[in-house]
Amino acid sequence: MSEKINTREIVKALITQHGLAANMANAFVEAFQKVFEDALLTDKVVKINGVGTFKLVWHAPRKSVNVRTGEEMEIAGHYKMSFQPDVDWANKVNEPFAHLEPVELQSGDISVTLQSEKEAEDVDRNDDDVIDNFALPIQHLNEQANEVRSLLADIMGPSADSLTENNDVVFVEEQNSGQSKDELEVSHTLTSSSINESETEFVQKEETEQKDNEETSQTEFVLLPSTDLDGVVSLVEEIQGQPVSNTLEMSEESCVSGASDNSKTSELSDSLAMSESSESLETSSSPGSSAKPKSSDTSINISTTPEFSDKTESHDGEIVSVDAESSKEESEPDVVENISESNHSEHSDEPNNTTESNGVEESSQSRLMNESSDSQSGETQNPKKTAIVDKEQRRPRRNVVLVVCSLLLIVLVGVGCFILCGGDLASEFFAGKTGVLSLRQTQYNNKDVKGEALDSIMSKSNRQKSLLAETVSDSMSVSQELEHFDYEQPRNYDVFIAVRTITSEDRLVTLAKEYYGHKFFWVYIYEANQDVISHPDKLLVGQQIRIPKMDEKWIDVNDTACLKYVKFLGDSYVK
Amino acid sequence: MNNKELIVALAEELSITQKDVTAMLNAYVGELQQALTVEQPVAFLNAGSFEVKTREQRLSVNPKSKRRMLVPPKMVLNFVPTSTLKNKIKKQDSNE
Repeated sequence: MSEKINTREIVKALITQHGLAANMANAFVEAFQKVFEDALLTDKVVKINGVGTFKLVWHAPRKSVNVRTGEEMEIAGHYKMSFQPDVDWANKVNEPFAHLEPVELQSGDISVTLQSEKEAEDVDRNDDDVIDNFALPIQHLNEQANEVRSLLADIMGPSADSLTENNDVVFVEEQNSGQSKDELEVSHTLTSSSINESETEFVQKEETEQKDNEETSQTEFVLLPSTDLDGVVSLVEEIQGQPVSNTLEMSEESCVSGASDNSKTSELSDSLAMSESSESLETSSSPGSSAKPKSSDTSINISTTPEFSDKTESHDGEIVSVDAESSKEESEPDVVENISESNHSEHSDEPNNTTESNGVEESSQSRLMNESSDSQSGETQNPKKTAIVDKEQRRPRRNVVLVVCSLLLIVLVGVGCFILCGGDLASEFFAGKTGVLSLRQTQYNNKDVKGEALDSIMSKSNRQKSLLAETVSDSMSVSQELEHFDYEQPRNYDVFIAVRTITSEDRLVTLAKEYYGHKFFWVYIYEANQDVISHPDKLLVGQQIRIPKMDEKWIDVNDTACLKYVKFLGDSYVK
Repeated sequence: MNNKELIVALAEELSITQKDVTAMLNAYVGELQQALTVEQPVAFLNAGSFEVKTREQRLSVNPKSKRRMLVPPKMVLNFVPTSTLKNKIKKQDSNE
């Protein structure tokens, strides 16, 4: 705010622009001043067209405390002036911003409220506001990181094609971020107080807000790099690098582990039932690999899949999805392999448990198996090369992957049920599995030496499809056997083991825990007492609750299907 | 005192016609409005000065619908009375 234009200048303008006599203009201003002041003091209100209304507002006397001495004092009643500008003039003043409308923001952002508070504090500080506005996405970083991760997991198959696609995506992101960064810079430079500049600034913000309305995730995507570009890129790289590094790791592993690993594995595998079969697998594949580089390709496939399956078991769903996506076209056989391998390992779990080993040993076992099979491939061919060949052959086929994933799920559930079912069946199944494996090994041996890589993969996939069908049918039959117990059959509550008088501490869940061993079984108590309990959450003190005697099948704590059903039932009641 | 009364009073004071006063008053107000910019406040007689205040954009929440709105910035006309006028006003006794 520079010096103000004083009345003399206005008068000068009056004289020059409107042709008033100088003395007349001066006289007018003096008279105006006098009349205005008098009118204000006497009438308490003066209204001037085109300017506004000046008003004197009475402030009543009030009691207060002298801050320094603490004495009570009275602030005398007094007038204060208030000015209400003429609407036309006010609009004229606000003309630069007149076209702007309030914009509704997307709700659900906690940080937005934080920001609004901040902004309310920093109303006067323009620059700080800008920074605050763009500090917002940083607070989102974690959410956005998750989003980006999942998105990339969708895009990611570590195939050559999708990798390049990915690079493109990163590039686009960078471009976007560059643009928004430019915007940011522009708006930064425009933070001076002149109208137009701040206007443009707002328009930019508004645009981003509108974008926000249209596509929240999109804007977040755009906004995110603008604040923390490096972080995102590194994040992207990190995500990208994960599978790549996996393969590299694998290849390195296979390079390092030479023939000595063979002996190592053979030592260990002697003691363990599972690695016996794996050894036989290796031995069967090793002549093939030494004879032809093609089958080493297949052997690396085998070696990769258990690693992935390990991951799926140990890590979270994100990697599962990456894993699944990474498999792509070839993933079908891979995942089948995966399934069979995991089945195999799970079944072998049981005999191992009976002897001595625990889960940790199991995993180390499978890892050793990986190494050994890796070493097989390392003997004959550059494993990196094979890995790249693998990548190239993978094509994005989301549907196939989805189907395979669901199948995997079904099979795993079936196997879980199977294990629970009993040792006899499991051992039978296990024996069958090893038989299948050995069958496959012989098939590897019989494979044509001069067959091309694609051919081998195709045939392999066919074999594995059939294998998948076998496993699926097996598990289906098993699960059918298991699920012969029909939870939908009506329950009879005729026999009661106890009658409880409800105290203030009793809940249905506590009763269920007490009598049945698991809180989920409260539904039975509720069902048996539906005549006295209006809602599961509304137990009245002093009520007589009968605890029904339940069949073992109904309250089997170890039966996940039972628990699941009961939980579902309970949820339906609570609703 | 409304605008009409003001004109009458001015005409009496200056002993000129109300029409002339109206013309002069309109010219004065027009000049005042023209002179006022964002950077420069404008003195209004000896009573005070008009200035433009910038209200920043802000986020507001509709207490009923809980919707967040980004309220755009705006320019507000503000009048700052001179201290002499303020004191005069303050000394004014209440007639309530």
